[in-house]
Amino acid sequence: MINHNLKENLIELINVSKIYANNGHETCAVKDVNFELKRGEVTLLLGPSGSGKTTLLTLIAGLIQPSSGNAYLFSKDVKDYSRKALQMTRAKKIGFVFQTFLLLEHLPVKENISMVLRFAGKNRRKASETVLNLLNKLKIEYVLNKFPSQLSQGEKQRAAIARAIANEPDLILADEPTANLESKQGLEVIKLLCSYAKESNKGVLIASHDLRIIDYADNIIRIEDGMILKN
Amino acid sequence: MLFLFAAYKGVSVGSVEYINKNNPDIWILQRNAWNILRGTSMLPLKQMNELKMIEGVGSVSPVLLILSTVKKEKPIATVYLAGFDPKCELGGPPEITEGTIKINDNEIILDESFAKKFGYKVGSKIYLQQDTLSVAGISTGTNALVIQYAFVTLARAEMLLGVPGIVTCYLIKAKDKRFVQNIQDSIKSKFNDVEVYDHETFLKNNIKEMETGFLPFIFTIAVMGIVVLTTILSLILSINILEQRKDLAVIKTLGAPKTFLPGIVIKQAMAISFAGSIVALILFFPLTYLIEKVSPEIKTISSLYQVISILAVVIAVSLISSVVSIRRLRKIYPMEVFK
Repeated sequence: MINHNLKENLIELINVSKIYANNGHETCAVKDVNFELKRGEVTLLLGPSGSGKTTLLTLIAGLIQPSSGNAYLFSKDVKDYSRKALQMTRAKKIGFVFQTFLLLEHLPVKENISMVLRFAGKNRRKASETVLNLLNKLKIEYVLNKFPSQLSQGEKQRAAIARAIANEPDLILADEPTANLESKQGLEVIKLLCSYAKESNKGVLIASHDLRIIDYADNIIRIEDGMILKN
Repeated sequence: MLFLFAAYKGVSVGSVEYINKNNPDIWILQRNAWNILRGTSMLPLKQMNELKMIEGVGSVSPVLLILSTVKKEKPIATVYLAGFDPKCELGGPPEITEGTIKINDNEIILDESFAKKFGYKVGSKIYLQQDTLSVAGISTGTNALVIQYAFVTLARAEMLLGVPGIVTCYLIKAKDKRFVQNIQDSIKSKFNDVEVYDHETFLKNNIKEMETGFLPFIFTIAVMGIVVLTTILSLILSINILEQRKDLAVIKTLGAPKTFLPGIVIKQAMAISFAGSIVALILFFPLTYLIEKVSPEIKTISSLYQVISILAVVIAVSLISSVVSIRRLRKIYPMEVFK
């Protein structure tokens, strides 16, 4: 039974801008961005390279602060989070899926996944059980003790998704999750993320320029040159 | 470092072995002389009879110590020549491994490492200044690293010095340990120009003298070693951090606690240091054996205490190197993983 408020805003950006200053030269990465993401929704942030998608993702993750405007993460302005609170929020409430999977090559899959569980405060035994259950659910239990270099692209992406959902986070931030995959595998990943959002009533924000994802998203935000074109 | 430690112990023990193993109850030297390793002491030989007369004195052994050049065919080495009376109880080499201690004026006893180094055996001929002597014995406990003891009769030593009737010190054995304090008091009241030491004090004086000359040298090399080790380890860790930059950024993004990444660096530092220590320990014994074989005068003494001390230094070096390298972690930004 899920007790979350179905209408709860996981993310809310109000007039958010981010300006980078470099040697006296200012670059506006995102400008006056407004959008929100609710539980159970999959939102696609669609735009070409350099459009500001990554900046928005890092803003939402609390990795950088907006230059102006307000970015609310779980109903609290990211400016009001302490460094430790942001770290705990990332560990417990946000899952990340990266473009190149970014599994740690020197650790076996089980350690890659159990690491985030440990960051969230789970003990080693509980973490091991969770990892095994997750891999079973994703039908890749045989990769438990394998190193990332021994996995196929599809297995890597599944392992990366297992890591992202291990703590059952309220929000998943996916940065170009289909970029390095064949179309079949890419769609499989999107389906997995969508089913996670729908079945667990969580939020998924996908930053991508892959038009095939459009059919699976509840909301599509088109972004170009740091500005939202259409919501 | 382990070798330095062992060499230091070897020197501090080996250099005073002659003093330690002779083990008289009382040492008498000229006023203001407090050791025999680096100091001058001259006492008249005629005092010997007066010393024998003191109540409680069991035996009096005179020793004349001089630095002398030993030759084979050309000048080869300097020895610390001890002239002793073979008829007396003390003053000679503490232990003979070959030959005899009962030498005559034309014979000499050489230190074992010195004999090994220069190829002397019992029966070899040796040139001591203008005289030719025959090697009659080989001794141990007479190696002070920078110089080795050699032993001749007191009469021969006097001849070499060219000033008869002079000795460096007297070694006194009491008839009973209970008399030692009374004998010391009697000597002090009877002779104005002497220093009187019980054996333990005199031994400590000599160890201290040796250490003040040798410790700063060892200390300097050890400090240089620690600095080099810390620098190398810091560089290795820093390179490691740069190589794993992406992974570390991922870990930061995923919400690693503040102490997690520094913990990894410290663990890496410890792992590298301990692996190095194990290799050093494995190599230490064969290398020491080899060095002692090539340079017999270098004597090492190793112990568990030394190993534990070195491990403590290794831990300290690891932590210092980690602290230096951990500063680089601050320049790894989680945003890097999104690029």
